[in-house]
Amino acid sequence: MRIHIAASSPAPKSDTRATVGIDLGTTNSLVAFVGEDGTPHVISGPDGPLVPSVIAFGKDGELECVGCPANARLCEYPDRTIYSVKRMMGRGAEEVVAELGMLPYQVHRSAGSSAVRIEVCGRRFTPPELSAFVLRELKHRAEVALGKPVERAVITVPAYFNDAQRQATKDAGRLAGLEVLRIVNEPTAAALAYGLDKRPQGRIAVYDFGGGTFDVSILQLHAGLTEVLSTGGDTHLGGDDIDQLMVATIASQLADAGIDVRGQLELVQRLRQAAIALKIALSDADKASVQVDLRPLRQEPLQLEWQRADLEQLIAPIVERTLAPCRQALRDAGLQPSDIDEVVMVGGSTRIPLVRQRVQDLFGRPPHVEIDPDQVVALGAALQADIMTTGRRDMLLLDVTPLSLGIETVGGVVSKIIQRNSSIPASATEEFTTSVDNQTGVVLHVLQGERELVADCRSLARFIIPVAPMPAGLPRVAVTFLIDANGILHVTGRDVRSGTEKTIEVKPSYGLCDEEVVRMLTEAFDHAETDIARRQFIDARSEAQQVIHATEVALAGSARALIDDDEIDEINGELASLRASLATEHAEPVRAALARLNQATLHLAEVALAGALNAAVQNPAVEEALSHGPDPAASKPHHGPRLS
Amino acid sequence: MTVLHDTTLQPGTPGPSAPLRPWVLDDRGHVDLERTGTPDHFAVLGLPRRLGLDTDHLDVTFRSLVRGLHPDRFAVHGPAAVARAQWHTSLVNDAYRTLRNFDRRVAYVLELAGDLREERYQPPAELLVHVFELNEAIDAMQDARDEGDAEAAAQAERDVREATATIRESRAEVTARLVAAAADWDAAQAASEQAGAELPALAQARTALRAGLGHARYLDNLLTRLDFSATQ
Repeated sequence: MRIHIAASSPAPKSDTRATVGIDLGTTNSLVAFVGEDGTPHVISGPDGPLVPSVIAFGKDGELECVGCPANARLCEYPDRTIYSVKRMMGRGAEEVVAELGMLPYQVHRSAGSSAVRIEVCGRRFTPPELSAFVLRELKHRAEVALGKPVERAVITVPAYFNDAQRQATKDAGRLAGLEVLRIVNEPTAAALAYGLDKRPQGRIAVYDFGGGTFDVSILQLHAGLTEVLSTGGDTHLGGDDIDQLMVATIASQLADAGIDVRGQLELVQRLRQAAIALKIALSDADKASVQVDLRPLRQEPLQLEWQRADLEQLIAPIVERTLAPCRQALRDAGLQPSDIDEVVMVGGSTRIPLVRQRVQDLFGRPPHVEIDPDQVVALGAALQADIMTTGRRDMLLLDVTPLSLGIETVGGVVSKIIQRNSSIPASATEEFTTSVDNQTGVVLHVLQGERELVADCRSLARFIIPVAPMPAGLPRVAVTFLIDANGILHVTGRDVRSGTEKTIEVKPSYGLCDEEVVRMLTEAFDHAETDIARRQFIDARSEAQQVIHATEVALAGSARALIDDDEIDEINGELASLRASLATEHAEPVRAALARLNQATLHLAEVALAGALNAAVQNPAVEEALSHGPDPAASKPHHGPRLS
Repeated sequence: MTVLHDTTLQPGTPGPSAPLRPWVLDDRGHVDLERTGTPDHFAVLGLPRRLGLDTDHLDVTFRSLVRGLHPDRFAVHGPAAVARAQWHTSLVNDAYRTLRNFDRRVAYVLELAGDLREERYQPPAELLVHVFELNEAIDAMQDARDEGDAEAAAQAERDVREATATIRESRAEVTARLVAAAADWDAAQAASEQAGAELPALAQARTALRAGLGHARYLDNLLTRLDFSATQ
């Protein structure tokens, strides 16, 4: 009962494995790849290029769906539909609660570490496991589009992400069956996508205001070499804050009217979606209105009407907060605003006119907005993947570490060993000895941050350097701290006297240790079969629902009169058995019943189609469209970037 | 795999400041950085140990080295090649970052000689008077702003600006003195290398560098504080 549209021709299978670029966002994620022609393309799915970073679970805690269908369930099942996972990556349980506020699901501390675990219907997940569901969806989407397995990826993170957050992102990739070739900073990827690397020289500011984070980077270009001079930002500032502020404003207005929305999870979700709709509409229009269903508190819906000026007044302090990191990044790079040759805008929040205006005021030049701010990072990640795997571009990204690395010394003071904004990879070697006779180990506490006291910095890891028992002060152990090109810390030790390497067991404060990742991988492998079966059932179910609907529509139409009663009975019988097959929760019976129904409705479909065509040829607009064939632009699957 | 450009990582000139450990070469005659240990920053970039250096040349050297060494170039060659590249690039990055900046370069030369003692710098009395005036002006500015007295605030801001200009002048003088001391150090270092032993002039030059650096850091901290007050 459907008209099938032939899929676009599959990609040439010259290379057996593809490497993609992934923008793993707070709100939305995307996957992109570089085609044979050398230009990057975002891969679109049935719902467009954006995959909402939302994961929906069934009532038994099994994965139900990811992306758009999951997003649609957010209001209905807030307790088992997870969003904003990126804000939990590499964080502690207390921090997650403090930052995300009241959550409809339970947040736990992991045993033996401070890392957070999210409980959904009795099952507990770490943020990397949750992100891996989104990554698997993107991987699957890319494999379908490219017609070959995707095993490697470049994944982007906010420039301001610390070691634990980067490591968590890398773990998520691994759990999704992807080898993460590189973790790239989002602003750097955006600069690549703009083709600004093609400028022989110049200084670029990238202003990245996304859903959950704000980042700014100052880059210097030099004949294919993209060197990050400085970076800054705020990991707690994004479009979500604007949404929350709007929701709080609306909620307080409702409270004034005697309607208390606190504790009404579904209603608050609806308010949030209404606020987002208003915010988006006000980027193009001077005023916008939206209606919100206030049930069960009030039967009559709420009519919201906002002027752009209202929104701008409300969010001006948030926009202002993004400018301080911009000034700091300029200072760190030793530059004035007038030294910047180009300004690039990234992230959905840069669609807000007030944001563009304030950025233009600061840098004294209109920012680049040519590429879709939602896609630019994924396109840049795809370019970086291409640079790293094909060698056909003489380009190189030199990034910096956003935070200083230090070790705890006497009295809880941090001694910095690698300064913030150092080019990475960066390393530092420190020598340690013992203070007590026959001491067998030296305890090290590694931290990241700019403050002087341990309590104010981010704990990365604690570990013990093993030492042979000797009189105090005699052992000499050189410990090398290396921040790799991904911004992730590696620690190695060497006994200075014997020259032998020491193995150091690093226990991350907010992450997963290697054994945990391996265990999860094994579990994921065990679950893989059920996950695939589940997915196949969900696909079959949605197809069955569409066919059932189409058949019912046809039976209710004029075609009904042209079909025998016997045939109608047969169709009704197959409809009933297809409905019954859905209860099995298995794809096979659904597919079989679907095939029988399709067989039984062949005649009905023919009659219905003939009737529809007759009606169509009497409609001049349809006739015109039919004679011209499908619009090639409308069905074009990928949107290439414009390179300026 | 080519470790580094052949001419770049040659063992340092023998002499008082040559590295403690001799370079270990791999089977292809290239410097094996893992077995050599951490070489000094000048050697990594193939430069003579001198404070006077051509920064344009330094930039060119850095870019050409990093283009060949960066781990992204080895992404498809397996984890061992990437790990090696990470380590090599980190040495080049660390060397470039340290030597690119004159003050850091001076500090590094003192550190190599084991002469970068963290002693408390005693500023001259004349400077202390300036600092005292400056603190008064900053306090007056804050008070005037808090009280909303625009006229007094403007006057205090002018005082702060004036004091800042004086500090900046002092900083420029210190830089000039440091540059002169650096030239003395370079000459003494060259002479010591020739003699094959450390000459007394080298220690004298270090003393001048250490004093200049302490003075410079003191002034820089002041200026950072002034920048901060100005933006508040």
